[in-house]
Amino acid sequence: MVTRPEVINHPVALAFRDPRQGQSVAACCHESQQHGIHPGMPLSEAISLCPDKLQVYPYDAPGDLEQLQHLATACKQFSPLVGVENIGTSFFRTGLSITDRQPQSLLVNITGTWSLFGNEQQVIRQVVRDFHRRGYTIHLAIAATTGAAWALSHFAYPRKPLGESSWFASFPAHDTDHTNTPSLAWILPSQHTREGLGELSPAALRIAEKTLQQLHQAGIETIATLYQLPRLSLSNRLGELLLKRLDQSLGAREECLDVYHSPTNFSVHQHLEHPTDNPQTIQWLILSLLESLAQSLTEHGQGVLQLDCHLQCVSRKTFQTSISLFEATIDPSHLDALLQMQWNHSFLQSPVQEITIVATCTAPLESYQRSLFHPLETDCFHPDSTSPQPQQPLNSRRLAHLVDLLSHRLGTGHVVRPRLRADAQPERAYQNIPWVTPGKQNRKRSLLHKRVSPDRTFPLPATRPLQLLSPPLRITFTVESANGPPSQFKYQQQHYCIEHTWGPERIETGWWRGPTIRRDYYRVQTTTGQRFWLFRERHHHHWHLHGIFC
Amino acid sequence: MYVELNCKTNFSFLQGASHPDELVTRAAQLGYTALAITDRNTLAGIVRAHLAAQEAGLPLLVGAEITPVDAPPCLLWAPDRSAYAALCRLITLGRRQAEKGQCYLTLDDISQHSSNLLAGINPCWNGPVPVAIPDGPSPLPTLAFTTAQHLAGYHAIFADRCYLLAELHDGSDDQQRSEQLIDLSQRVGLPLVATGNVHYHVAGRIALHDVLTAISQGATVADIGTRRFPNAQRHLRPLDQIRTRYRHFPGSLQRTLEIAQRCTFSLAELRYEYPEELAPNDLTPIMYLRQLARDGALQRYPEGIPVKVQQLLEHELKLIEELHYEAYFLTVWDLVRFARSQEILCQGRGSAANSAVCYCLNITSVDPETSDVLFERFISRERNEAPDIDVDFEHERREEVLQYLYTRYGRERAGMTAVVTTYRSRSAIRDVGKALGLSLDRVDIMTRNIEGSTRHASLEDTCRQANIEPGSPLGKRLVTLVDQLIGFPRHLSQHVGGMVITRGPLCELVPVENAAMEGRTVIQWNKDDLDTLGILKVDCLSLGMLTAIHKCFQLIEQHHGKQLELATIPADDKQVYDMICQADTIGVFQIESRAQMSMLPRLRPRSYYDLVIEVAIVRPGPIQGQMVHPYLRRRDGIEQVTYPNSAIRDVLKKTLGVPLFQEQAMRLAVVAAGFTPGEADQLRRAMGAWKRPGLIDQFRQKLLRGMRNNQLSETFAKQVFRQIRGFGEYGFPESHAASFALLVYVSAWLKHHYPAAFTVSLINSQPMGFYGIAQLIQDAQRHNVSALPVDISHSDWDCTLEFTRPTRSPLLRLGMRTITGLSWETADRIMQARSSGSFDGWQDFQQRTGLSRAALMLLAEADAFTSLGFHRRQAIWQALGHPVKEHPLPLFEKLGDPEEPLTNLPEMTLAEEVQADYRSANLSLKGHPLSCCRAYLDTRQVTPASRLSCLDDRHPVQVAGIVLIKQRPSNARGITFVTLEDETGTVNLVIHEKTWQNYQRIARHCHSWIAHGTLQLKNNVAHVVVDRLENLSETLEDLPIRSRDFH
Repeated sequence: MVTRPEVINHPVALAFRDPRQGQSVAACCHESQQHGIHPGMPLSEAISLCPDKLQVYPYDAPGDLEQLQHLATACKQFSPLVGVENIGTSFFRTGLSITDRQPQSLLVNITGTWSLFGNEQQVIRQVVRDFHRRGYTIHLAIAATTGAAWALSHFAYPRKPLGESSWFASFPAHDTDHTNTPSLAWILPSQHTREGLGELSPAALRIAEKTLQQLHQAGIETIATLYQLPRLSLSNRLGELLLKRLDQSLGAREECLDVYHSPTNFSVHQHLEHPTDNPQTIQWLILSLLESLAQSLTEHGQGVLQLDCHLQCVSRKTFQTSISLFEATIDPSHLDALLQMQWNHSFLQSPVQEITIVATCTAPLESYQRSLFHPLETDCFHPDSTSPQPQQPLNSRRLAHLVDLLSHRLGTGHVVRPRLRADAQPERAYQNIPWVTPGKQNRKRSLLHKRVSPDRTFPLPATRPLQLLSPPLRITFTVESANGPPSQFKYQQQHYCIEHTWGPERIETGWWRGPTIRRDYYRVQTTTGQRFWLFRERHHHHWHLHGIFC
Repeated sequence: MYVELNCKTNFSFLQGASHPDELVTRAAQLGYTALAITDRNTLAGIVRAHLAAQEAGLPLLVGAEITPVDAPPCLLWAPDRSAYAALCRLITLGRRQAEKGQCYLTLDDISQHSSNLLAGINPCWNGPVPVAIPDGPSPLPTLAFTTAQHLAGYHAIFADRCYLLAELHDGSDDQQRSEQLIDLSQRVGLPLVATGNVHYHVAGRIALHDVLTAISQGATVADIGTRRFPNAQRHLRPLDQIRTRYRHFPGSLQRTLEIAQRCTFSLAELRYEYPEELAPNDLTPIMYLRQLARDGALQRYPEGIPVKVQQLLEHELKLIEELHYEAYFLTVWDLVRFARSQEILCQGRGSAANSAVCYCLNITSVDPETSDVLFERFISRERNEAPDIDVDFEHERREEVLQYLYTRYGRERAGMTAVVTTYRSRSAIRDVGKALGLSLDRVDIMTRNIEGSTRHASLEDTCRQANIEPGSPLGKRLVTLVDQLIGFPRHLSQHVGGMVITRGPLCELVPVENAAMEGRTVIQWNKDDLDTLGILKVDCLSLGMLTAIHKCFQLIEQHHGKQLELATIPADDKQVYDMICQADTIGVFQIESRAQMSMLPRLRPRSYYDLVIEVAIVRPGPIQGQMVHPYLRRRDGIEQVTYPNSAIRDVLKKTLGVPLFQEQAMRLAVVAAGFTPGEADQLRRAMGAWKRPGLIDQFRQKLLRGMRNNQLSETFAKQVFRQIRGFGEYGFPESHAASFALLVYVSAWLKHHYPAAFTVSLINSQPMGFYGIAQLIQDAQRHNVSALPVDISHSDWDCTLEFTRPTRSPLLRLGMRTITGLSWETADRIMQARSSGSFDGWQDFQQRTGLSRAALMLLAEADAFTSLGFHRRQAIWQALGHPVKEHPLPLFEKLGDPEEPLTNLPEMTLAEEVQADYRSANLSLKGHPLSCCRAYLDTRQVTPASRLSCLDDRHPVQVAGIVLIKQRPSNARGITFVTLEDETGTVNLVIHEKTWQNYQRIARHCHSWIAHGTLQLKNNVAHVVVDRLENLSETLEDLPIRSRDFH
């Protein structure tokens, strides 16, 4: 909803693949629930309930968690101690929905910090306002313990008084009109924790579904009933966790808050007091920034796989460059060279006032054994440096740098390597893949020699030419023959007389892609000793030249 | 001139892409001299090929491809009967040594079974290297020999009967391959023979073959790459192509003819012989059979054998002797004798079962004297038809009978018939869809919409639902491929009960393999194959009702001191027929379904034969053939009974001119349309092959022409065809109906006279029948039988009868088997502990039984501790206090529980009790869930079930209840019949397809409804035609009620 405002007021469902029943609903909005859709339902059924309107998006659990972590960082404004709720293996509220196995709550320890906002009510107003601004409606509660706050926010009924001096407020979501559900907030004073919790269902204790069921069977429907039962028989019957949770909620037992720390960000930044458009200066600045970036990367044992460089100009325009690398590296001059290459294509319109360099994708660095006689002089491998000495063995890091340079000079789509594919159709039997591809798939990339080896052995390589014409060339004959290939044909203004033929090799394939390919291939040798690969299209008996044997 | 020697059918699962008959027909068309079928390690498709070859007049070579684990695969062809036997033995050996569907053989095994077999070895340079099956019996040393060594190995085994297969398929380098082949042939001294390695009959099947390869590899067609054949050359090629292709191999074509000439064996040579050791040494089988029949007759008729029966016996025995079926009858007699000795109730049925001989041999209990000779279709000389006896056994004990057969005749001589499981729409769409790379969701959508039907007329619609335009290239491919794949065999499984027993070793007649079920072995042929070759089988089937009847007999003997048997139940009990006419038949065999119950008041059966008709008439066949209403009208005297001629009169007299039984349809074809008995037999098969509905239409012209020739009117002819076509849907033979009718009568008699014992035995035989335990108990309560709840102090595992002295009327005590999830061992432990005295408290109970917490919880949830003074919640609390592990430490055993039982847990309300009962056992004696919300329903003006008959026809009504049964008969044009139950009785709902779809969510997922609709009253039977459904389950909260769905 927050990221896709267009779906507001539409029925929306998130889908995931359930191993047993196939595509299922992971979560759905208020709107779609009114159509009878509920989490856990097969997706096809959900669609049939709301045929034309239902919007389905894939359920993205890591994305959700990332978003929650992002919000956790944002909550640091209220307290330094912010944590994402910890979902243990023994705890999930309902077995039904996959979303319940994901953390969905944020825990903020405001002990001592609330006074900065005035009072607790003010904290709540501040938090609600902040989340409304971000487009969220929330349920929140302030209580003496983590457990009690969690219980209230998840299981307290609106407007039903909890204990004597508890406080409840509802915040209609004015500024975000996408939903009618208001944000709700509770405050339970610490001296009333026990009675306030007592009115809630035992489910509010974050206990296992099974324990909950057993409590229900025994007719225990409120936490208050639990207070009256002997502790020993409780733990005997329903397990240690129940007592632990009960004690934690009442403050009789410690509960730690796992504070969330946002991951280290590899970025360097420089603001220029005097904006400049002098390329030398900028280059020098970038190089020094890259050096300090390399410094911090080295500390973490990481190398750059992808790097973004933003140049903020005075004219408010941002000039952005991104480079991808074949192999993780921290070599500043190499990175700088690659960045320079990108800029060669364009030039700055106005002075630069801010430079930011971010390593958007990193991978562990590989270390190399230095050899005594052939030191790894990657620094000197530079486009304008002298050519490498012939006796020096080609090492993989140098090759990686070469690949990087070529790819950025010529474009990644032009620096490719062929890979054999199992396909009967010759022009589909190989594929060209770029050496350098942006994104995380680079991460697994390592030494060259591992990738060069062919995936499969293919039969009788002598029957295939090394050089294929793309597309196959239609050829005309001067003399045809009844059976098999013609005795003479013309190619590139030259006449060839065929002396020997081998074949036919029949290939029938590709029906699943479109019309079936039906060809009879012949290897031919001309009187002049050249060998060609010809085929006849069996649909209309046209002859093509497809390859030349070297 | 050419003989194809290497040809796979689709019985080489996921390898061959053509049916056996397609291959044979195509080979005949192309002018092949002969064709060999060589499926991989199987002979399962050979009989079908044999049948097609006979029709096409093409000589068929019997063979198989054998894949030893330590050598390249080889083809084996059987030149004569002894070689065929060796081949069967070899395949049996391999199959029995491996898991189901696998075959494990070594070169050594082949050499031991090589007698007379001809072998063809594929040099397979690029073929897969043979790999040892990891879980084979003995680990093999790593394979290090070369191809030449393998060839030498084969050469040593087969000597001059060994050939080298030359196969050319326009590959990448055929010239070089030819040279290498010739060179190899000279080097090892094996002659080359041309073969085609055929996988399909026409080149057009390449797409299907690619799909099959993809299915077997679990990949998509686009991904299988080199695992598919690069071209479509592996089809039956025209002769001129073959001549050109193999011109470099002199003599290789001629050699195919040589091999064909050496192979004179035909499946028609197989002589089937029944085991004969059943007769004592000094008697021939027929003498022994006569003696048994005579002794049996004297026992059956202690006052003297009636003349009619005597004559019948003589006639039948003479026929049996003439046709040499005596051993078959003796086998069945032996089976039944064994069952009786083990006190397993059984009953024969089928064309030969209802004969005087079978009655005297105790195979059936239908008395030929009283039942007026109905069964002219015993066995006859003219129709060369195998006698057919199916024997039903108690379903819980049939395995004993099967194992008896295995031990009596040995695995070598007895095996179960196979059933060929074939692709149907749903599985075909799933597999083809996956192979074509459709997303799993699309495949899901398509298959979900099929709902198990075998028809594929709506395949195009199904595509549209998944957003695939049928006219698009993808749609066209999908439709074509699915169409081709439907009907392809997928795997062999076992027939429900058909046993084949032979005099000699069975594994020399047909390969025997392991079934999925432990302790079962299956032959590779199904019942049609056996029919084709004239091999007899005995069907040992299981029937739940026999178990129930047997249990009921035991209870009656135990509590009432009365000994009963199927044959000695008093016949023609007027009160029993009265009960049947009132459709008070819940629990009665066959006539308890809703359709049957609504037919009973219309048909009003008053005699045994009426029951036979009742059993047969409520079937899709008679209903679709529109025979029900004419029959009822004629029976009520509204319509006059007329016959076009006297021959037809003879056929249809018994059923008032309306054919109701399958036999009548066939006889009609003979009498009215001049079919020969053989043709009538084909017609019967066409009727049986309901999976291929078009088949019967082939007979249409023939039937109509035949009847025209016999001067029968066009309307009559059309009517007869419609009726016969109806039987194609599903008809019932009279010979089976007669045996069933006896069980109908017996179970009705038991229900009427001993309702408590009958209900107890039905519950103890669950799962069976149409109704759940709750309905059976409610029905019993309506017949003044009181039921008592499950209690650890009183209940056994089974339900029992308890007698209170003054009234002598039995009470039904529910057994612990009604508790969902409780194991028999738990119940047994309680019963054992109780046998030494009753329990005097929780601790006493726990100590003496030592049950686990899980078991105690199940019992507590079922409220089974009331006799110890614990209500349900207290019992649950007590049970929770026990450690999860079963046996507590012995040190603490006598210490006892230090805790006081908790007394302040709230008791449940009645509604909660009922809900908990339903959760634990799916039934409650305390009340009905609906009674808890009756007040609410009254405000909604919902009519209770019992008050429906007081309303007028066509009155708009609302009814509510728990969904008991949902049924969608295939012939009801999408109408769903639903039975709702409230506390006063049941309501029958009729839901049209449209309504069902409008309220699909409620209809499919909610277990209790409020249904709005119109009342229909006919013959005192009330139906509600529904136009709106409402969910009631939320009101009833979360009752886990299970309805029984019959689609």
